Amino acid sequence: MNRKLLPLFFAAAMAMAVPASADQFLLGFNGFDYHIAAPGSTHYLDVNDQYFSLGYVTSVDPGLLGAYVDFGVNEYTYYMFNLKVASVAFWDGNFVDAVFSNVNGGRTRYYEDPISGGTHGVYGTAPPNLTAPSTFVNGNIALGGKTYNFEVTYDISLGQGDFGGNMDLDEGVDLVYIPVSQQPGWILGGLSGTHSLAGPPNPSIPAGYDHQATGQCRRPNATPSTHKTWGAIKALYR
Amino acid sequence: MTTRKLGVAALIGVLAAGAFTAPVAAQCVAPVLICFSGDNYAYETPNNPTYISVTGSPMTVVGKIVSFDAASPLGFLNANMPAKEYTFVWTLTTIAPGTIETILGRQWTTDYASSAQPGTFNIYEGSPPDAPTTAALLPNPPSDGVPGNFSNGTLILSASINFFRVIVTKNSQGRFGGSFNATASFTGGTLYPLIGGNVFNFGTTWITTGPALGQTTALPAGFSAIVSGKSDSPTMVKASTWGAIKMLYR
Repeated sequence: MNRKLLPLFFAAAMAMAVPASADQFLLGFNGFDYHIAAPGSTHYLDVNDQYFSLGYVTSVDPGLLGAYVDFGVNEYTYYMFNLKVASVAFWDGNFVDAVFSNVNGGRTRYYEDPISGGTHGVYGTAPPNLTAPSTFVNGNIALGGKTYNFEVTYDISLGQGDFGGNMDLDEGVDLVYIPVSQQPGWILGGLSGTHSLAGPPNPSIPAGYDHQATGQCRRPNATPSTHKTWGAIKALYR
Repeated sequence: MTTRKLGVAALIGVLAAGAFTAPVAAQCVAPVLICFSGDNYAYETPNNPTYISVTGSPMTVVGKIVSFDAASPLGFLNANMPAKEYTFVWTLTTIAPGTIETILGRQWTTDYASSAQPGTFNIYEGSPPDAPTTAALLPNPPSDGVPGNFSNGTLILSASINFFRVIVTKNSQGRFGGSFNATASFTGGTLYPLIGGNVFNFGTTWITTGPALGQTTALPAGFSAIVSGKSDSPTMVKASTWGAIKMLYR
């Protein structure tokens, strides 16, 4: 009987070949970010400066969202907003570590807009402008969430940085498809671009935007699993 | 008994299907040419599970393209066709002096390519799809499927990477972040005539492995990061006739 179960054990072992409580990809996005300097701001992302990012959702996890997302019919965009710098540290005059307020309504939304009859997202220049963010925030809110503990680290001399924070999904027509246990997640991404002094300049960035921004929204895995030895798995059935 | 065997076969089949299911792709809009915004994987040989690398350490990044800009010369490629997949392999080497801890405990910078020590960026069209996804990766690459199942098929584009910088940070809340910024030029492949050899940028998300905030625990041992992002369009070449070119000057 044990031999007959070998293929099942093997399959189970393959299924469990990820670490305990592994995180999971939900969606990926590409776009650009920009900021609005507060009066009296003395440098990039000084206190009270506001940070924005917008662009396109470029892939989704097939398991959680694949059945409900149709990129042939709809355009999917994202917009991060209401992110205001609460405190900032400057290291060596180059390395900016900006911590954002948790009480300013920081939020990230993913939108679904029909390709036929909808409005195509247009970046334009010097945002906010006539098309951005407006053409990135039309259509249905597919998913949205409170974005907090958000922080941007950026090296001005190297023209490169990253952002990260918590993102608890709490709205949108697709929210019903995300198990409650997976709705509190996080958002992570990288920045590179026009502020570059030492790194290569990037001519693809429209005038007035700060950086190229790409990132992922990741969720806690709904079914935590763990590495097991072959012997340990067999022992479970003896 | 037959039912049991069928059940086992079905389970294995389901697992196998899941192992090769790519993220559902979406739009890829100019100035982006190629989107690889799902999970893609970096590892060093010998395996270095951290974000700290030493001079001369070979790094490989393998992944799957989820979409091409439909309005570009590559727009006819369908990254979602069930019969095909478009994969990439980058080969890089840590440049001296290795990872620099630019700010103690806060920022680590590593260069993996330069003009003097270029890396490679190859894109393949493979059929049938066989590149493993996150859940199907085996530990300690190179291993079965990595990088082999990402480098099979037709080499449609190859590029030389002359700049590749990874910066890993740890912010004031203890959350790790990461980015990469790179430039390259296409040099060959069956679709090279459509694209040409001008410089393009690619980047930018670098999620290191580990249990801390901002890191990922989704990868088996031996992988160092999940890599995600896009590559921009180089200034394209445009096919023309001799007569049309002469018309420009009349």
